[in-house]
Amino acid sequence: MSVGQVVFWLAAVGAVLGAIGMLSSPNPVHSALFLVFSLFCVAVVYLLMGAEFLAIIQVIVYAGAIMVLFLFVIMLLNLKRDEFGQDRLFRQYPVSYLATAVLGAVLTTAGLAVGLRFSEEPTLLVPADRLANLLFTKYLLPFELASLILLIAMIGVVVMVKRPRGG
Amino acid sequence: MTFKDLFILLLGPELWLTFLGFFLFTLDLIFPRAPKKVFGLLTLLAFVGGLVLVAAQVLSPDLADEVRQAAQENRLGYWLVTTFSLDGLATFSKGAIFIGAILIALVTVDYVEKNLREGIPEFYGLMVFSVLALCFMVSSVELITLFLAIEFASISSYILAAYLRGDPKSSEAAMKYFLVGATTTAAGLYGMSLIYAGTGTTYLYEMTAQFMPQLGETGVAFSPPLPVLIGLLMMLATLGFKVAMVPFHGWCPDAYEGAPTPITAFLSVASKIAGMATLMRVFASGFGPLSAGWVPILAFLSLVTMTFGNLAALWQTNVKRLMAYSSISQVGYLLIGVAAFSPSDFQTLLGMSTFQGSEMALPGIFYFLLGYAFANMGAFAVIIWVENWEGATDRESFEGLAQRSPVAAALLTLSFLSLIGIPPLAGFFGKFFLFGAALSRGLGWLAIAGVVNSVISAFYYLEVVRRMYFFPPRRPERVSTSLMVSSAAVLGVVGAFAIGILTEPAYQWAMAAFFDVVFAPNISFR
Repeated sequence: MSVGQVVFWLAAVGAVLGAIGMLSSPNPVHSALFLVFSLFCVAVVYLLMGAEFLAIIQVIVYAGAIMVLFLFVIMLLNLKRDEFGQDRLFRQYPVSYLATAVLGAVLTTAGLAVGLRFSEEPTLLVPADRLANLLFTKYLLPFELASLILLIAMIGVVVMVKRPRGG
Repeated sequence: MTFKDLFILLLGPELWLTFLGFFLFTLDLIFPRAPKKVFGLLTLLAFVGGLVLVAAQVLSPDLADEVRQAAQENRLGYWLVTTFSLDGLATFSKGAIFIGAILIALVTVDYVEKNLREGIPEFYGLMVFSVLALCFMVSSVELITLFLAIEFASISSYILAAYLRGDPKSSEAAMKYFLVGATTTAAGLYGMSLIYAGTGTTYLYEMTAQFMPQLGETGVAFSPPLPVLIGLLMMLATLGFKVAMVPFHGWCPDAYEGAPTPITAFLSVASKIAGMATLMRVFASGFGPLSAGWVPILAFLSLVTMTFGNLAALWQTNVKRLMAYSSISQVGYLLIGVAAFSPSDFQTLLGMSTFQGSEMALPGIFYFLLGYAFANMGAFAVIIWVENWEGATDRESFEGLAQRSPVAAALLTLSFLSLIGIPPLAGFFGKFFLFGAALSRGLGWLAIAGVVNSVISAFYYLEVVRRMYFFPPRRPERVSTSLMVSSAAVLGVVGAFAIGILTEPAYQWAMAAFFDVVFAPNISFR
């Protein structure tokens, strides 16, 4: 086994274990940390596939920004499992097991049909510099539009959460 | 023309709105004690300036040629040409959006003073930015840009709809609007990726160019490959949400009722014009060769939309809700025009065959939209007129309005008559063009359904009129209002009259809007 394969198996098993840990952990903080771990492992898999940009974004945005936000909310609200009360969604459990099993079967079949192959040297699918180049040439206008969207979203949040004067 | 001049002329209204939007946001930080009315007047200035810039674009005689030439000589950035288009469709709808926005700005000032205590500068700034988003929407010819523009418009509308902080109905409006919007936008984005998978491009006119050879000389429309058709229908979810088409209308009544009334007017006029223009750009000019795939679906949805809107409107007791259902049914009429599209229309768009006046429904859609914008704005101005005084928009508030304010009652009646479609108001000729086109395309059943629906719609419009004229007023005092609101109402009704009387020039302008729409396949893509 090459180094790449060893890293892949570690990351893949880590991602699955992290996901299982997230679902089974009784403590929401542990759940969130497990999810961070799982997302990080997926980022490693992306990196091995040659999608470097996707891997970096995965770490910065998902494992970094979003999950830290989750953690903040969980810690601020100080949630514990027994505060949720009786789990009212128990009827949906069988459906969720079924859906998971079907999805797993489909993905496994697809994976086996393609065949697991490890390329000797990882190819770069989309180099980050080409993406950057596209972003600032062909897609300059959408890029600017996205910045405007973020601006109004921020302003909207500030307007919505501002406490009314004297209230 | 140098690149700089051309760039400024091309993006003029957008640059101007961006500048004024930022100006409004920062002005409050620099001068926190500035009277709030200043912001309203600046917003009005923003929209008037935008209209002037659009007029400059329309009147500059060889702008289209100039752009084409600059694009071919690579003087104009590739990024600009393939994402942003300033064709007749864009300028016409921008003009209509700005006209609507000016009237909305006129009715906003008093409403804001009465109902908002917090965040007034941001309210105006967000209004300017949402009009900016609509301008980008009608100009974008590339799926990623289009998606971002739609998202831009939607997000600013969600915020504006939730602006009445003390009113749970406003929160409900924004929440429902947001949930439906987020779902349909996700579906639309997924559809776009399917279209990309099927065609290998996100540029609308490159897709058109791919499908063109199959259309061929015979001009027989054909159905698209399945992934593209599914993708197109999923995009219809997003566009249908923007124009409140059944079955994506669920948010409409509650959002219209709960949102601040000027924002309701904005959603029903400006937002709808942009949504309709985008729908036509994607379907008629982008996917025109594939019309066999989508025409039957749109014909069916048109029937469902107008019938549902009209029947549901019969039971409404709140005038804002009534306007919501009425606007759904108006979208149904508009979709008749889209459903009456045929491949020969597409060849006309390309300049392959000459124009045969009344057969083509697309100019009729624009004519109808313009008339609808004026009449609807007239109606909303009177609704705000009454609401500012009474603090409510239920039907009872309008009882005896003819004695309390004869002018307001007369203006609302005229607006409603135009929405029903009574000559010589604009609504009549709009329906005339659309139903006529449906007849000549063999969609007689759809035209008949349209006529029947117009008759049904008369019931609920005239019910409000009856209450205004034949019911005793609840309170005796006169309902007065500021000059701005009343002038908006007068402008709306005068506009509906003018479009109706000057049918020919208005129709000519609407027709011209379609002539250079599909010019883009002429330029090289790589």
